[in-house]
Amino acid sequence: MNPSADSDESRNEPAPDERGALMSALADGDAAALQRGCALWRDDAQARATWHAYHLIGDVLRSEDLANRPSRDAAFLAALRTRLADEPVVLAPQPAAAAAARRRPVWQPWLMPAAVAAGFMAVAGVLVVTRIAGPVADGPVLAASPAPNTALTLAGNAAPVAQPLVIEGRLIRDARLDSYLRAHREALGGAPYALPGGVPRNVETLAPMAPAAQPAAR
Amino acid sequence: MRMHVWRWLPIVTLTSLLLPAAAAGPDAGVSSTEPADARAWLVRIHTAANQRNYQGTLVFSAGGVLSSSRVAHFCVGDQSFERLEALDGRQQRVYRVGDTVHTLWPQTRVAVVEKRAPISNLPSATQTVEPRVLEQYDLLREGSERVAGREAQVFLLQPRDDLRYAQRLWADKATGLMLRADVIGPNRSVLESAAFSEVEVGIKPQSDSVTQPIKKLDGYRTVKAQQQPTQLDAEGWVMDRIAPGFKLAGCVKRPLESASGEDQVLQAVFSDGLTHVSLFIEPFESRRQLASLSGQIGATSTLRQRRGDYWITVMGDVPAATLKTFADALERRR
Repeated sequence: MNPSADSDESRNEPAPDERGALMSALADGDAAALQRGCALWRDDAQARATWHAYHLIGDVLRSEDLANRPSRDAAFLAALRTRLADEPVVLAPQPAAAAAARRRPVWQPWLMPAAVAAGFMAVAGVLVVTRIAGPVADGPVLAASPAPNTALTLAGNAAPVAQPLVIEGRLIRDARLDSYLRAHREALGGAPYALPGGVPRNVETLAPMAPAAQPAAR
Repeated sequence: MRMHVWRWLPIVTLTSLLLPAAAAGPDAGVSSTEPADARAWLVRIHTAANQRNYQGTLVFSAGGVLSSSRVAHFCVGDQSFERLEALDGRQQRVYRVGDTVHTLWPQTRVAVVEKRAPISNLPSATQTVEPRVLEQYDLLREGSERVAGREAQVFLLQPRDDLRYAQRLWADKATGLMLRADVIGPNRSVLESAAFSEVEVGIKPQSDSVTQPIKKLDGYRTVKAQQQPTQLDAEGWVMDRIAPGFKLAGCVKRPLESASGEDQVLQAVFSDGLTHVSLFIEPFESRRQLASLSGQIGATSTLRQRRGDYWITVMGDVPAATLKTFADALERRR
């Protein structure tokens, strides 16, 4: 979704039943309704009311205990926002950052209205989390790096401009770097392992990236 | 991932308890070796690694991580056979007959077959020792220690400049086989260490144990990885000022991750007679997701930066400043 397409869609005033259908589809998690539904939700107060009503209906159908007054939801969201603001900033290594950057055009437009209208924020948050979780889980193995003041035996000579390696006191965890490392060791050719520089490294770091390199290996 | 570290911690601790002698010992009885004697020992280490029949467990440790591999090496006539089984992490088995290498990944049922013509002039690639090594390093004899149940002669290869790291080698007194090797950084800190935890030398060669498993690869998808020898200047690159003591050992075009033709990188290898540095060049356009980086784990430093339309990645067991001289010296000429 790019911003211009987004604003084009928002200019169209939907018919009331189309509004209902879109909100219903969105509430059901229908991906086809995502773009238009979100744009509508952002720009149309009626759509937001419909959205809330549908969710309330859904909640009550599941359990009458979920039939709460709107003020309760508002209090919950306020508390959530406070907690979110207190969360430490997660410093993700570059691959994840790149993945996030590629996706930013997709979810950024939702985030801004979400900050204005709180009711949607939890939903947007869930979407962002699940969408980012995909590439991280099956992409390069990223170490959830703890604070680097622990007993890491790293030489602290990383150039300030460069992105530091993803390090957790372990060997290189980036799959592509593993490949370089492997190629670097392999330059020794058919040399025995029992020579300086020839000893095999941690095998996990030597492993090729299975999902990317090997299509559907069972 | 943190779990992983904790799982290893007891072993690391145990190792550090068992190895105080290694840290304290070598200073006693240091003596510079006569050049001829030094060279003779290096030749002995190389000859033993290439021509002896041995089998044991090699343990590698860097940055607080241990990994180990079961290794066997046999030499029958002119033919050498080698087998490696990774004991930690993902299953991996490597079988080498001469310069044909089969790498098996049992979990994904993939077998990669490579013909690894050794890049000439590399320290370990030939059975002779590169004479240049003693131009860059002093070999100091440091007394005796016991490693993997065997008596070992300890040597320190001390670099003559700060472009490279020192290495301490433990060579089996009886056969010359390298039993342990440490890479030592500034302040005498051990950056990484590799050692046999147990080894049998002079066993009966069992070349069948290398050739049999690769005869029937039922259920394996076999991938052939091709390396093409090339030249830096043929690829449009020039390197005029290589770090002192290093020489270009070879240059290949090779697939990196996928063994498919699309993932080709150019790899140039430089050697100073003991250690080597790899320089990887790949187009920027097709690898936009890569990032500049610089860092070091164990003894291995990595530096990646963008140069115009290319990514330049330099990797080697040398200080980061040395890698930078390689990256800086590379120029595009075309």
